Amino acid sequence: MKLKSRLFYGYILSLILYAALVLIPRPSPAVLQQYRITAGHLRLLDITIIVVLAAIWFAGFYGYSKFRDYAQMIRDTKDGRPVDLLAKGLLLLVLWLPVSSIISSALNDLALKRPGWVQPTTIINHYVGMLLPLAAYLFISLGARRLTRLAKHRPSFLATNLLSILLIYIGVIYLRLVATTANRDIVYQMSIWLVFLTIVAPYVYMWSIGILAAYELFLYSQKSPGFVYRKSWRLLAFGFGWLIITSVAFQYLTTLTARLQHLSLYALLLIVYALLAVLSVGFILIALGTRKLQKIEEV
Amino acid sequence: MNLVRDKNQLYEEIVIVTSRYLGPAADRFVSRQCQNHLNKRPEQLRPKDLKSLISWFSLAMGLLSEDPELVMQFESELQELAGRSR
Repeated sequence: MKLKSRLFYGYILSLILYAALVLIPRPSPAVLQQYRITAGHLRLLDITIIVVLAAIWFAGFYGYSKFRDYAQMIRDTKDGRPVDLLAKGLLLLVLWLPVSSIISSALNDLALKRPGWVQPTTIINHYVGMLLPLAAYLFISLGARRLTRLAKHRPSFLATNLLSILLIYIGVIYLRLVATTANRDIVYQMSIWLVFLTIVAPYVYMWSIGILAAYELFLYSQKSPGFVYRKSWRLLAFGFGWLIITSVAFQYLTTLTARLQHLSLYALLLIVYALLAVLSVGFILIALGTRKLQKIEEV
Repeated sequence: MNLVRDKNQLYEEIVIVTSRYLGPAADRFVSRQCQNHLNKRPEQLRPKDLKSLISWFSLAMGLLSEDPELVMQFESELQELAGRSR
């Protein structure tokens, strides 16, 4: 990522905005009482989260900038259009990180000040967290499909069936977790049917197109011509697949939020840090794979 | 006209060999090597250019792959092509 680029400025601006939204409002006395900590202590923990998020967002922006540069390099070629679609999807995924965090912080602050706004802010939070990745995976699946068409290889009957079975189980487990979420009304602020139809179903759809796209990219990395070229795509396929797995983990964990309330603040922070670190692995794999592809176009 | 077709054919043959290693990036790779190191457009490529081009190709492939056997295999396939083109 170049220092004097719009992308870098966007990254810095998002970080400043998020830090301001987290650090400027006075800490909620209820939160201080719940975790038995002082305001200063909470601020210190907030800063550590901002630092960790800064690193994760940077991994995302860096991975995207590498991939976008590669997409621009091969724009006018046969594989240029599918790669461009993948780049668009990746951009939406990367934007989802700061956009969802900033909106969530702003809305949480609003809900703390006006308790009557808890319901709409919670609902908006859920939809914002879903819409950007959903759009992202639509672009990624389109790009992956066109790449496999180029390599003239479609997923086999067995692979399609195995993926369907996997997705059915992922969906059923998610449905069960949502249905049995402790304090579900507080977590979702919606009726169960609305949650099933407008949150569970779109997420399962997103995961299905995402997992299929990751598999198609893997297939492309196996069947496209060129030993060196194939190896670079393998890392990218793993990167995209990793991001989808992380998304599933995040949503599963959302259903467990109420059950985790009894954990200490440090245990909760450890879970958050671990999840964020896991997420960044996907972006790092994408950046590494792209660096190899870029090298092919540069030497 | 025949001469132009033959030159293009040589270029196409190099691309076919290279695509076994670089896939869809092969055409761009070969064209770039011709432009950068020989200062020639693909259609201007002649069999006598192959010797110099193979050295550049091997060097470039060495930068792309850590597998020396792969680089040697690539070079020998290009040498074989050069032998046929003489």
